[in-house]
Amino acid sequence: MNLSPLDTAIFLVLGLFGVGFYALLIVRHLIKLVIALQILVKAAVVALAAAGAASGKLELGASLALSVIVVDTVVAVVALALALQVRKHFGTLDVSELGTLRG
Amino acid sequence: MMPAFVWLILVLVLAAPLVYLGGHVGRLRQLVANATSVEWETDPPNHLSQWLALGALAVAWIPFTLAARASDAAFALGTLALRFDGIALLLSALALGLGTLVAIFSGAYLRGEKQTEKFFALLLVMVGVMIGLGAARDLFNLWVWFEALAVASYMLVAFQRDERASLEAGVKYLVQSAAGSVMILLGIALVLAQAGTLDLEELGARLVTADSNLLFAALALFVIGFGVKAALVPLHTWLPDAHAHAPSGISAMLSGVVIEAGLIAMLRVMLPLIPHLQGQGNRVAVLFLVFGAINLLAGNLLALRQTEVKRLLAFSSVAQVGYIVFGLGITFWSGQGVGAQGAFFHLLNHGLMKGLAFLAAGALLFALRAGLPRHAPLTISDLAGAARRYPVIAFAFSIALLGLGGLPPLAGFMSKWQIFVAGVDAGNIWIDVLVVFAALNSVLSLAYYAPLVNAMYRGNVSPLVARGTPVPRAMVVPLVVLAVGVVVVGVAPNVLDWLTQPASAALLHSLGY
Amino acid sequence: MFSGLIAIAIIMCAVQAIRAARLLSSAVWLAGASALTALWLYILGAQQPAVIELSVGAGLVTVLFIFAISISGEEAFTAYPRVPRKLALLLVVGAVALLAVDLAVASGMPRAVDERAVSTLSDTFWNARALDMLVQMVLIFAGVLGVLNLIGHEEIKEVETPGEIQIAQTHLPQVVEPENEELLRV
Repeated sequence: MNLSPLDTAIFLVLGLFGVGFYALLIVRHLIKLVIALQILVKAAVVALAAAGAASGKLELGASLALSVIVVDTVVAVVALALALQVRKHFGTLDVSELGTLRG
Repeated sequence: MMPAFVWLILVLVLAAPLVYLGGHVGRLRQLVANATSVEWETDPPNHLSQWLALGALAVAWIPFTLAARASDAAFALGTLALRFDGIALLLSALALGLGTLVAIFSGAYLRGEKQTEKFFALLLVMVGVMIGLGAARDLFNLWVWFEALAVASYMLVAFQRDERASLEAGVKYLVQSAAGSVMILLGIALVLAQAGTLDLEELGARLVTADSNLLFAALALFVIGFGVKAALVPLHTWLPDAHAHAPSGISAMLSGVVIEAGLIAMLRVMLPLIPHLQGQGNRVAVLFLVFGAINLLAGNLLALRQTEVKRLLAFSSVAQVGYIVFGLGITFWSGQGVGAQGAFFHLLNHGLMKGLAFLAAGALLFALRAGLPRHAPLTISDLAGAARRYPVIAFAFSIALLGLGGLPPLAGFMSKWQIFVAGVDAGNIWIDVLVVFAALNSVLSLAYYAPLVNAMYRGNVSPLVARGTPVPRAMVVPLVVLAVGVVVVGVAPNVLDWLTQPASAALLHSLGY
Repeated sequence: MFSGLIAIAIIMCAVQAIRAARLLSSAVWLAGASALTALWLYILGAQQPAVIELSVGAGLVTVLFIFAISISGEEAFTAYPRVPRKLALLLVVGAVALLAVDLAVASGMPRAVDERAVSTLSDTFWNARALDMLVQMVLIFAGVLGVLNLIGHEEIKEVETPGEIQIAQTHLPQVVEPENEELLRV
C-alpha cells in the first residue's frame, strides 16, 4: 500500500483538530491554551496545503499555508505578551482564576 | 490609477505609523521643555498623536466621498481584487464616521493614560482594515483582513493594561476569536479542495459539481467561526467582558462596527455557497431566523440582570445583533430585498445608537470616576440624578437608550419596523410568529433601558454625581452629533437610503436573484 | 506509508504537548509536532511552507514559549479541567465524527483540477497574492504596537528622565492597593 501525504491529510487534520479542540476545553493554564491554539493552527496549515494539492493548485495552498503561519505567529506572540501581563497582575496563569464570569 | 477607496484604506493604514512616531516626537519635546520641573502626576498630555490621527481621519473623508460616488469601483493586484460595492460602502461609512467621533472623544477620555499614541495608531489601523475587509473579494484575503482587525481589537481591548478586568477581557476575546479563526480556515480548505479557487465571484461557477454536504459543512464552519466574532449566541461569551472593559471609545467601536463587520464577513463568505446547497438553501434562512430569535431573547434576558452600565449595554448588543440576523434571514427566505435593507438599516442605526450609548456612558464614567475606586465599574444607581449636573450627556444617553428600545420617532424604531414589515410580507406563518416574538422582545428590552433613563432623571442626586467633575467639550461634541443623527434618521429614515439600498442590492446580486 | 507514520507521530506529539505536566516539555513536544509537520509538508511538495514551519513554528515560536515560561515560571495547579473531561471528549468526538462522515460521504467527489500552467509558489505568494502579504504587514504592525503597549512601558520609562521613575515608584502602592481590594470584593 502506498499512501501519499494527501491520503493521510484528512486523518491528520481531524486528529490535530480533535486534540487541539479538546485541549482548548479542558486546559486551565494560559500558556498551555496558547499551545492548544498552535495545535489547532497546525491543523489549518495542513488542511490548506492539502486542499491546494487536492485541487491541483499546490502553490496556491502553499501560499495560504505560509500566510497562516505568519499571521498566527503574530497572534501567538500577542497572546504570550498578554499572558505575561496577566501573570504580573493576577499572580497566576490559571484562566479559571481570572475574575468572575458574570453572565 | 487607483480607485478612491484604495486611497481611503492607504491613508488610514499609512498614517498609523506616523501617528505612533508623532506621539514620540511630542513626548520628547515635552521632556525637553519640562526637564527642570518634573512634577507630573502622570505622563504629559500627548496631543500631537491625537491631532495627527484626527488629521488622517479628516483627510480620509475626501477619498471616501469620491469612492461613494464611483459605485462598484474595483482594484486588482495580482489575482486578488478589492471591490467597493454597496456592502463595502455601508461598512466604511459606519467605520469612518464612528471612528472619527471616537478619535475626537478619546483624547480627553484617555487623559492620564500612558502611551496614547499607540491607541490612536491602532484605532486608525482598525478603521482602515475594516474598510478593506468590506471590499475583499477573495475568501482567504478576507480572512487576513479579519485577522488584522482582530489583532488590533485585542490590543485595544487590553489597552489599559494595568486593569485586571481589561486583561481578562483581552484573554477571553483572543482565545475564543483565535479558535473561531481556525474554524474559518478549515472551511476555506474545504471550499478550496472542491473549487480550486477562492475568488468569491468565480466560486459560484466552480462549485456547480461540488458535494452539497461538504459545502454545508464548510458553511457550518463559517457560521461558527464568524459567529464568534459577530457574537451569535452561544458564541457570545467573550463579548460582555470585552465590550464592558475596553476604553469606552473602543467599546463604541466594538459594539457599533466590529461585531457588524463579523456579520458582514460571514455574509460575504456564505453567499457564493448558498445557491449550491441543492434544496438546503432554506436551511440557511431558518438558521438565520432561529439564530436571530435566540440572540434577541438571550441578549435581553441577560441584560435584564445587569447592574453595571457598560455591561448592560454590551448584552444589549447581543440582542440587537439578533434583529440584524433576523432581517437577513427574512431576505434569505423570501428573496425580497426589503428584509436585508431593514437589516442593513438597523446595522447602521445600531452603530449610531450603541456608539452614542457607549460614548455617553464613557463620558459619565469620566465625570464620576473621581469618586469611584480606581477602575471600578459604573453601576446604574451611581447615575442617579445625573441629568441635573450633566443635562446634555444625560439627554443624549437617553436618546440612545430609547432608540435602542425602539421608541418612535427614533432611529431604532424605524429600522425594526422595516424588518417587521418585511417579515409579515414574507407570508409565512412561522415568520409571522417570530415577528411577534421580536416585537415582544423589543418591549421587554425597555425593561432594562427605561430604569437607566429613570435613574438619570431621578430627583435625589447620588453622592458620586454630586462629586462629579466637569466633562470637556471635546467629549460632548461627538455625543451631540450622534444624538442629532439618531433623531434625524428616526424622523426622516430616507436620509440613509443611499447606503442601505446599494447594500441590499449587492446582497441580492450575490444571491443571484 | 511514510507520511502516514509521520501523521501519527505528529498527533502523538500534539497529545503529549497537552498531557505533559511541565510547561517546558509541553513546548518541546509542540516543537516536535511542528518539525514533523514541516516534514509532512515537504513530502506533500510544499517546500517553502515546510521551511517556514520549521524555522518559525519549530524555531521562533518555541523560543518565545520558552522565554515566556522562563519569565512566568512553572506553575503547577492541581488540575481539574475547566470543562468536565467526559463532556469535552464527547463534544470533540461528535464534531470530528460529523466532519469525518461528511468527508467520507463525499470522498467520491470529482475534484476540480486546474488545467492552467502551474505557477511557482514565490510567484503566487509575492505577486498573485501580494495583497495578502501587504495586509499581513499591517497585522504585524498592529501586533508590534500591542506587544509594546503590553510589556514595553517599564523599559521605556527607565531610559527617560529620573523624574519619571520616581513617579512610577510613588504610584506603585496606589495602583496595587485597590487591586487587592477588588480581589477581596470579588
